[in-house]
Amino acid sequence: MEHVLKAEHVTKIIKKKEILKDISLELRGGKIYGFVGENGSGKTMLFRALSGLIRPTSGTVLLDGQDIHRSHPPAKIGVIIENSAMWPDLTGMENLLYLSALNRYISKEEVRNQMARVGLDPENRLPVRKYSLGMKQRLIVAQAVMEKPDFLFLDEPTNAIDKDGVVIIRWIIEEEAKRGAVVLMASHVSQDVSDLCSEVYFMEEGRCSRSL
Amino acid sequence: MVGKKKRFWRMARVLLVIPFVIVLAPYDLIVSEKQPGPLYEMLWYSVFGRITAKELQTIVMSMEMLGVLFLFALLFGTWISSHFDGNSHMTFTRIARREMWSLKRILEVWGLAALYAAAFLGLKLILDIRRVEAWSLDRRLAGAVCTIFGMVFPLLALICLASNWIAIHKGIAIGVLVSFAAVLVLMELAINWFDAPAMTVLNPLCANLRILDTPELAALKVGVNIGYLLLVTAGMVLDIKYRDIF
Repeated sequence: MEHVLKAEHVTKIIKKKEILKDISLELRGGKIYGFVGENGSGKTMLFRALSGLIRPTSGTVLLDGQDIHRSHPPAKIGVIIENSAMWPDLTGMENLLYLSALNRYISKEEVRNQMARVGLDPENRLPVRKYSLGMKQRLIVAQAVMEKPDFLFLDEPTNAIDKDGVVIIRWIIEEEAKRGAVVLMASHVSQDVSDLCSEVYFMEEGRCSRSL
Repeated sequence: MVGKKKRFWRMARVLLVIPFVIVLAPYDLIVSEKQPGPLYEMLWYSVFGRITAKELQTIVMSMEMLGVLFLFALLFGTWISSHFDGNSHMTFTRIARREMWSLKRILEVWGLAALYAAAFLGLKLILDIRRVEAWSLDRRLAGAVCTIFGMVFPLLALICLASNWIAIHKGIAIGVLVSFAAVLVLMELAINWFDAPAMTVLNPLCANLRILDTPELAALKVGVNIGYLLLVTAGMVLDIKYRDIF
């Protein structure tokens, strides 16, 4: 089944300011869509709206034909949003196990495999607050992809990651798209966008337009 | 289940009320002269305090009971609000029905408050049994224990949920500050209008011994406290269901 994300005339107003302006999109599985724009252009807010974290003031978001705010069970979504943080006193594995327990889509063994996939040691007993920035970011990527989501929203996924880690993360993103997920990626790294994305959208002052 | 051991120890913090009470009132452990009782009245005053010689007894009442209330809010004031930090989007993109998730978390707070109240009340009862000349497990005592529990447990849960709810919007520091300030105001009102019937029933911090005079008044008092708790619970569930997660 091909996964489809549809945004129909999505607008979001916060404190009388139009943050998202009448955005309509139709995105299909198997592709990586890049979103570029200046800081404050609305990329992160758009990802929040498309992933169901915020309710649009008007318009709808449909994931595989279901309204994201009405569907049960939930669509399988993986998200990396700016300023992500895990529970600092739990280990990396404990963090992932907690999140995987919310829907029980995957086993403990699979969680372990996904953690190793991003280059982290599942047996590491360090609490996350003692992780380096790069390790934290890898863990955040792991939580986004571990349940094989159908829709993946990645806001600066390679932030703070070293060169080797960037190679791993880019490979994972490509694998997710090959698996059939709808992958949206916002990045300031033009290399990431040009190498990975088959279509690029440009955000400016809350409006979204396809880059030619 | 993730971090079962860690979760268990987090919940076991309810037992911290025991050393807390002992440290605050060491004189309770030393029984120099037994009191004639009745036990149910002694228990009431040892839990809520007594207003007789206004200023000194007011301070005693405020310090001990407030300390017990504030300790619970400090221990569990982030039980729900901690899910709304930088990790919120990871949790809430996995949950289709936020109202069920939030109700479960809120009922956990109810459970913790019940355990905490039981530990507190159990300790007070044991200490007072040691101080009374004679006692028996009669209807009056059973009624007093149930009433006190029915007043203390919702109060604990209310303050903790209020702290969490405000913390979700404004941060934990503001959450704790505002809920503590509200408690102090209610306590002051309770002390100054102690005998007013409306205050006796409607102010959750007013513990007039007359409440034990009739079962109907006791049931009304407990019912009002639980009513407040249900209102805050419903408000929180709806707020979490419809709020934007940033």
